[in-house]
Amino acid sequence: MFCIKTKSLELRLEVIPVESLFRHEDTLPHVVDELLLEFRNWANLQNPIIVDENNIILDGNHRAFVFKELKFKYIPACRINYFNKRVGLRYWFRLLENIKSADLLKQIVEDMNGKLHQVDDQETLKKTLKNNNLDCGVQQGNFYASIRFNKDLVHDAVSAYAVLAEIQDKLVQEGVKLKYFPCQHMYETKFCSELKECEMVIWTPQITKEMVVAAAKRKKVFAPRTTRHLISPRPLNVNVPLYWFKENISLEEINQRFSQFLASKNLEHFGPGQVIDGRYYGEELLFFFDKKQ
Amino acid sequence: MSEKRKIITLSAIGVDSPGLVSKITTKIFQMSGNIIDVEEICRRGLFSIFLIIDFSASKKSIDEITHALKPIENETGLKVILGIHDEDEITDLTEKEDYIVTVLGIDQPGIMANISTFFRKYNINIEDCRMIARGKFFAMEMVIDTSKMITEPPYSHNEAIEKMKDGLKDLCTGLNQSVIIQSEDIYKRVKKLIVFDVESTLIQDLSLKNFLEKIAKTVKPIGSKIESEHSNQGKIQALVKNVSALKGMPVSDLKKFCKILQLNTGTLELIQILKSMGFKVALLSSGFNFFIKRIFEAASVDYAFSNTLKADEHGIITGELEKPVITNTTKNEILEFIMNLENISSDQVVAVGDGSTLSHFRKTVGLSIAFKPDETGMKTDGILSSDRIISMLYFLGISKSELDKYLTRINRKSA
Repeated sequence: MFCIKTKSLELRLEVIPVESLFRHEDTLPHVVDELLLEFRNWANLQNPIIVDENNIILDGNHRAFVFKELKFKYIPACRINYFNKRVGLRYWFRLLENIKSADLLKQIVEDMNGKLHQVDDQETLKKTLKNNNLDCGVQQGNFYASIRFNKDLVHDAVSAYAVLAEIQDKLVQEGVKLKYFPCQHMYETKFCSELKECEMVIWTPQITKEMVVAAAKRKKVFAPRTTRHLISPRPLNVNVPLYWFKENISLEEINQRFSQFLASKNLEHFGPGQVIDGRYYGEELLFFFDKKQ
Repeated sequence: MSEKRKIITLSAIGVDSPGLVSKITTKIFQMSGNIIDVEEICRRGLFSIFLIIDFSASKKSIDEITHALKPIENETGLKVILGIHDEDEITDLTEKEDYIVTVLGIDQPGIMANISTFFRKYNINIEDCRMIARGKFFAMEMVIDTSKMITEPPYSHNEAIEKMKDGLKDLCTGLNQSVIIQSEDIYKRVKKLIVFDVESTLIQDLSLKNFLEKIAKTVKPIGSKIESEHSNQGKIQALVKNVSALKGMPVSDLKKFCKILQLNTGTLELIQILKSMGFKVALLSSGFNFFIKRIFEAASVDYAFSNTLKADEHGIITGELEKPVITNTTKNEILEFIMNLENISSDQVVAVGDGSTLSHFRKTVGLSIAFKPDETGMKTDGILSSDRIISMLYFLGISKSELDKYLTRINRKSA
């Protein structure tokens, strides 16, 4: 095991059996297809997946799924203490494009025996969702509302997201375009001011880490794009050769190889807020890169 | 004893029409001539060609060859001039030491005369010269050969070249022109990464000054330290060094101040064009990341490094920066890191800063450009004194017509 101890969080980089993993979230078929194509043809796995003490996947759900599909026995992972305060749980909000008014959504919710409660403003919506973490929120222009369903339909966090996925599917069938975006964007004035009239935002249920663990242990999965974990510092760019995982090799042997491989690399530490290879990272980073020959 | 080669030069000039090159070169081929160098130019419907031909393989005499070449005039309508040369008169390409000199600025009489006289003084040969922008704005690219440059003791040849470059930069500054001098082998090497020192190149001077004044006025303990520095770069360093004075201030207040910061005109277009040219774009800043994030969101750069203030859960600044702190001295290490990731060598990097001692990374790159430098005697490859940062594209070999095409494409996309 290759261990990195920072002031805030201990990162344990190791190779673990794919079969030992617990997923807490479903996959998106188009992402799986892209990764299948990539891993069949690409030479390296760039970033390790992130797991907790119980092998629950916190980040890298699609990568792990594709490793399993490709019948790879092991996968590189970074194990962390999920309940450390440097591990943040955030959500993916939904952006609905090409939706003329809230009427279509209202109709779908009513057909599913749910209710829309209009609220005054974004702040009230935020408070409502905080107090009722299985509710969803809706925002379009100056229209704000929470959505609540009967307990026979929404009785836990997993069912709350399942109902949301059903609503999304019905909207997409009606010609609405669906996009996912990190929830923090809703607190950015620029993002809100750039929302168009025909765009609606769905605030997803604000579940807790305990709910994630409970669901995974019971082998229940949330809808795709439910959680978004911020891991600070996040290990990046390990670039492990994929052919390793096609070899008939013991777990002990591959772990030894992995540790030596990481030890041969340079490690650069960056504070949050940097852009690397075209992606903005809001977390602290630990970036592996090859030593110059 | 081997016989000397039969070298003939052919210059032809006239009205352009399709097939001219074919007619000339076929005639040469029919007489067993081997073209060892050629330069052809078409400008505004006029044509000119210059060929150096080796007729050693021809069984005909020089007189017979020149006689046979003359009818090209009638066949093409061009005015043809032939020259007969001794092999010794032809310079071997390997002996040459070429530099590309790009000069740009507002057009005025005498630019060309001043620069060519300067080169004559040093015995530097101008091998090629072309206008890359015409009109009110002028841009010219020259190829010069410094192999026979006069070197006065006690300077070595390389030292003399550096001295000549400084002299040319001074001359161009006096003529209100920007200039860059690049060794041809480095110029030809494909550049892959362009790195900007954000504070000195992309942010409007005045807005940066206003931002720093606002901070100095609002956060009194830091005010005197900022004000005691003369340059904006120095003031930012003072702010970063004394960041503890910001303790207790809401991050949102500082973000509001950051709204004062404005980009230099044409910055976003420049980044977009560089990206469509295949460059990776990196921004290095020793300031705070709010503003860098704004540029990233607007222009999607590949790399951006800056400082992040630590804040508590209520969004109040703790007075510390997230580590490692990015200063002018650590920017070079970050550039090394990016080069390592991209697997590129330093001569494939273009660095744009103000050329001051605070832009350390300029020393380790293939092409360094000082944008509106405060100091004189910059050790950069070139100086861009124009307010238009987008003009630096001329230094990368872009002509005005190409630049106009890129800008039209961008405007069409954003419309």
